[in-house]
Amino acid sequence: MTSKNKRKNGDRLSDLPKDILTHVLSLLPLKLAVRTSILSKRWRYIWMLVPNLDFDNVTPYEAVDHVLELCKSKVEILRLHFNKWPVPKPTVSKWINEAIRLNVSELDILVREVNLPLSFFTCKTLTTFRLTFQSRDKALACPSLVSLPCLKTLDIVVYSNPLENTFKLIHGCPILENLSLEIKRRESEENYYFEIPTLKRLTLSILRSIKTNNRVVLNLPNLEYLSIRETWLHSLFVIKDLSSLVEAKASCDIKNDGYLWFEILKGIRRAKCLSLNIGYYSFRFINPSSSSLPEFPNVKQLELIRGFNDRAWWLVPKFLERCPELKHFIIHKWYGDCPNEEPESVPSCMLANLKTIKVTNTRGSTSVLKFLKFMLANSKFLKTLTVTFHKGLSFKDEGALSQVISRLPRASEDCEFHFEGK
Amino acid sequence: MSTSSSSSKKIVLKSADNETFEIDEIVALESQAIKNMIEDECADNVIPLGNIDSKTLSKIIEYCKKHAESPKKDDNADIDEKAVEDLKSFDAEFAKVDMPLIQDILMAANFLNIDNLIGLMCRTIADRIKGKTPEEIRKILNINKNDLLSPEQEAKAREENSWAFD
Repeated sequence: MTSKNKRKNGDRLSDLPKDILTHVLSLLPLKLAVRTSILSKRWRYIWMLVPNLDFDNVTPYEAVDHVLELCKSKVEILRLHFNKWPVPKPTVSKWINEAIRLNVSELDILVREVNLPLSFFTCKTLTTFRLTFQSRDKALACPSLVSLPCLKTLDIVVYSNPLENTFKLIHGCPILENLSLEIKRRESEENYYFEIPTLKRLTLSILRSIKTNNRVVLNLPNLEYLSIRETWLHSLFVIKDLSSLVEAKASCDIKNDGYLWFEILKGIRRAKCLSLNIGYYSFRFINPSSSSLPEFPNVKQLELIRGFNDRAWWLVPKFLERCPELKHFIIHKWYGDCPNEEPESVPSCMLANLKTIKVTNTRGSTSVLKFLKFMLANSKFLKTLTVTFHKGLSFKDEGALSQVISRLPRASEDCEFHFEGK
Repeated sequence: MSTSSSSSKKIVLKSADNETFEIDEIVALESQAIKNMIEDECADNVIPLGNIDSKTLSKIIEYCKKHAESPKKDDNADIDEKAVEDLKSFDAEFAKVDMPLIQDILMAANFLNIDNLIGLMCRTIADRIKGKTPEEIRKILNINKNDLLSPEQEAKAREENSWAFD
């Protein structure tokens, strides 16, 4: 392999097995990979073995036909992103059809319009499918028989409901593990039933919705990860079974019907890792005086994101009281003011379990300092406090702030401080 | 790892230029090929690697040591994050070597079947040739002049895939 002769001319890369060379090419954008065809005789046809074909708005779009024609080997990943200009629907269908003939395992399609070919709905090699289509007047067309026996990951963005056909597709995947569903606009009342015994991860996003009585039923006994995002929360989440839940994220705001938020919190209360983004208006319902905040008996890590209301900071002890096992606490981008009076009692997790606190994106307002003062003075077993600074702070400001924070009295002697900034 | 090294099992690797390297078994196990040898019990005390020179081998051992020491994913989230960062910066430093050595490492890693290292070296090469002209790439990769396409062949290749050359 390293004989003297080859050392002299130096071109040992070309001696490497084809699969290493294709590995290198698979890490380049397809266009650059194709351009290596003129480097040398050795490189002339290597690109045709690249298993991932990534087309991102290439012109002319007929290049896709050409490449699919040349790539006779197995195509593992085909990405068709054509959102800048329209591609005729039959053309997209033809490409998908061709990829399925080449035993594609991962399809990622972003187009204005698409009609999935019939062959798609019974594809036996597909393991991952992503589909985003932007046209608002075309719902996903779906035949009555769907059978995708190997599909584990399904990621769909639809413009509007109804989602009848989308759910037909979902239910045609007997081993589905990861599901991501984004609805750009929910324009009419529609209930969603997620009853998928194999599902491990679910991400549900509803970006715009009209106020209706919409139910989302989750009966997912093996689900480990759940992310819920509804810009304006109008859905009633009915949690039937989430008994395997480990990590949950919820990001919603609400103008009326505060109980909808509490239904979500109640449903995810047994997770170990929680991330909550409670919007501005929600604080009328979720606030220090609200007594219906559930207990989170297993939460080891809690992340709270954003907060504008002046009572937001003191929601923190309220949450901490409900998380007796909490070890790691993270606060992102909180701006609210902090009242002068300290909370009446110290949450029990601060006296027993809390090990790390992280405050990100802070400008070091007096509120943040008051909050840190309380946390440091009362967290008996704190190991690290990490503070990251807002971009707008100068190097000098950061230095001064670090000084102030480092001098705050702390209950835990071996607590370390990390400051992250410029 | 350094504290426990006195008690753990040792493996000796011998390079093409007859230099020997004594390493902990756990470090050697980063190589799928050596792992298979050990599991099949066909590894003697000394494993000869007749196609890897000592310079390349010591580089590879440096990599395997670091990766064997680094804590594997577990439920301790805060250690994870730090270790991942640490490993990332190690990899970035490790890859700062000249192309002939990268090619030697890649050959050896391919032979020893060390997936992460193959990936790292392939990424490094891809990053170095990204955005370069064909002439520059030929230089970077030390492509043999005897292997170049004739002007006619090159014109044909360009025409065949004209969409990629606009």
